[in-house]
Amino acid sequence: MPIDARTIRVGETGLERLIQWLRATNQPQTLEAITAKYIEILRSLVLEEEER
Amino acid sequence: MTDQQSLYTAAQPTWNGSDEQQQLAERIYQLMVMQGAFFPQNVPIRQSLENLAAFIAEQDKRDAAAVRDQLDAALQANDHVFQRSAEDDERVIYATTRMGFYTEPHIDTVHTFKQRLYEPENPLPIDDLDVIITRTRPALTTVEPVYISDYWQQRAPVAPDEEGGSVPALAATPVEHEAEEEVAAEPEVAEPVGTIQASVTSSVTEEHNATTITLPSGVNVDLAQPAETIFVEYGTALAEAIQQAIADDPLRRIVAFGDEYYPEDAVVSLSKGDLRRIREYILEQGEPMPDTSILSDVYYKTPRDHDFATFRFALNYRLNREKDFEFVGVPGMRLWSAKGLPAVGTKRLKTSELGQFYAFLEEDASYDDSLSEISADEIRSNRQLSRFLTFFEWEYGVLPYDAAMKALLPPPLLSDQRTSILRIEAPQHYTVYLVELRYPTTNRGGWLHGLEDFFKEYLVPGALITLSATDDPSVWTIQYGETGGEDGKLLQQDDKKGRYSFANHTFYCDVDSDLVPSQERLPRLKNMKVLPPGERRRITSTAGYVLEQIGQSRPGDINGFELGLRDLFMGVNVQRPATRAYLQATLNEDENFLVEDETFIYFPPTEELPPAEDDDTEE
Repeated sequence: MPIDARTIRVGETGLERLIQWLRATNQPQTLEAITAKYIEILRSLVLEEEER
Repeated sequence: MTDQQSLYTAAQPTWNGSDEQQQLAERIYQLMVMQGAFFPQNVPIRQSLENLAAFIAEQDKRDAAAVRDQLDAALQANDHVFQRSAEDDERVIYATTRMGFYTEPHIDTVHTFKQRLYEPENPLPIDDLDVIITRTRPALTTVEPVYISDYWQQRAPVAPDEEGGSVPALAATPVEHEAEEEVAAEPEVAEPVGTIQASVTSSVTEEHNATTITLPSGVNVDLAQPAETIFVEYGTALAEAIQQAIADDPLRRIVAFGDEYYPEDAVVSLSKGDLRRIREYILEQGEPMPDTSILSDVYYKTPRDHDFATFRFALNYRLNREKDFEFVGVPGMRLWSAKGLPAVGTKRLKTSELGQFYAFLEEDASYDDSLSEISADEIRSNRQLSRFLTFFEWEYGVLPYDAAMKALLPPPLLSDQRTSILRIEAPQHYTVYLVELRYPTTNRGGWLHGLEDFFKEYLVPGALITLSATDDPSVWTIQYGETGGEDGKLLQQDDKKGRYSFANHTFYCDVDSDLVPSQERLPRLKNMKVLPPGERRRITSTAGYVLEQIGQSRPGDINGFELGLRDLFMGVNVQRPATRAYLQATLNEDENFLVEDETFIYFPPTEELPPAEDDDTEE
């Protein structure tokens, strides 16, 4: 279910997914890598429907 | 009849209708009361007409269909006792109670606590949605995104445009009303609101659509763009927002050490025994140790181990939270010091005194003239820096952490890091020195110390030294130009007498003769007092004293002393560190000094320091 971008709270929305990814990588990540992944997560939340 | 009996006794209603109907109604009533004998008095006892008719028909040996109509009429005649409800003609239900009547309870929903709570008549102004939506989340995974009801959305500070304009984003942080208007008008230049609570701001722009988010800095990011484009254009702003959010997360679900991040629940803990072993290991080595050495020597872990990276992170993260350990590393080399290790650097001056001496470097950037002859970019590209030693630096083995040094040396890895320990190698003598780099704070300057032995052993004030980087970010080299040897009577500090004197020296290093405090150069430095740190801290009192001691008396009505900038610079730098720019700027503003070109004239106030005591001792 895609969400409206206006309800996104940067740093809160999608944080659980980010944590899951971080855990799955099995090694600490840089802020740069985290940012890139977080962009992917937010995009997937918002664009899910359109992409489908 | 006792009260207890009355509890189990039904009321005796009066009956209406014909005698037959009255009898029938009473029988039914007795039957239903018997069925609900243990019901509370006001709880309805229900029975279908079908069942009642079947019962009476069986009792009276009659036709059930005929009884049904008769019974229905009798009970309807006594509707004050029996409440009739019918879904259809086939399904009729009668209800009564032990009290002899039944009325459907009416639930008043006009005014409820729930409604008052969620939809107050006069709600307070919503400056901050955080007061409505708690930011404290349970540890368990929650459904995302946080649901915000239409009620609160509609009451957000910026109401939806009635003319069909854009819908506002949610207000999440207290923002001045004026600021909101500015943000709304020009989102690109909006003031950053500072905290991640403002991640979704109240800015309203025409560009807003269902795929656009607003960053705390006020920048709108359309997530419909490719991820690479977003990263390139807004990566920095997003990284700042994420970093802030992680730091502000009350549950600390992601933790950081330096520039690395990992989930807190996946970070292994260190027991007290672990901490003790690590501390003993560091103390045994006698100097700060890198995390990789601790991992290999204490835990026998190698980079080939699958959990090496995570364990290394855990070690650094956990040690950083322990008061018995201090991080003294740099980016690329994580060193740990433990309580009990010998201090690095001079013990003749307190760190607070050194911090105050170098405070001028942080006070005003114009006081720092270390980049007057070479740029920071050149230093970074060359990875080395050359400079002449002053007497103070040579005497105490310190170097200022000025703009040139900042360009050369590594920055702190942690935001609250106070010091780094560097290894400085002198390849000309195969010696290594541990040097402490003290980072500046808001009101104190930074410096390096720990080179006292090297300076005293091989160099003299005025010597040219070169610091160079190596492949190891915590290891540096120090070199100087060697010469055939030169003799001279050079200044030295006598801590016992608290004075300066000249002594014979033979030195083998390149010097700037203008900066060498020799007897030939400035003979009046002899017998100058070593001022106490409190007096040295004030540049004007130090410069005034130096001028009185080594300056030329100025003829005239008012007793004054004058000295050129070069000599004053050397004289002051015997007592404390100061740049030429700092001297010129501060003395120019002091009423007791007159600066003419590069000549400084000092007029001591009458209540100023008494002249130095005459000392009869001859060298």
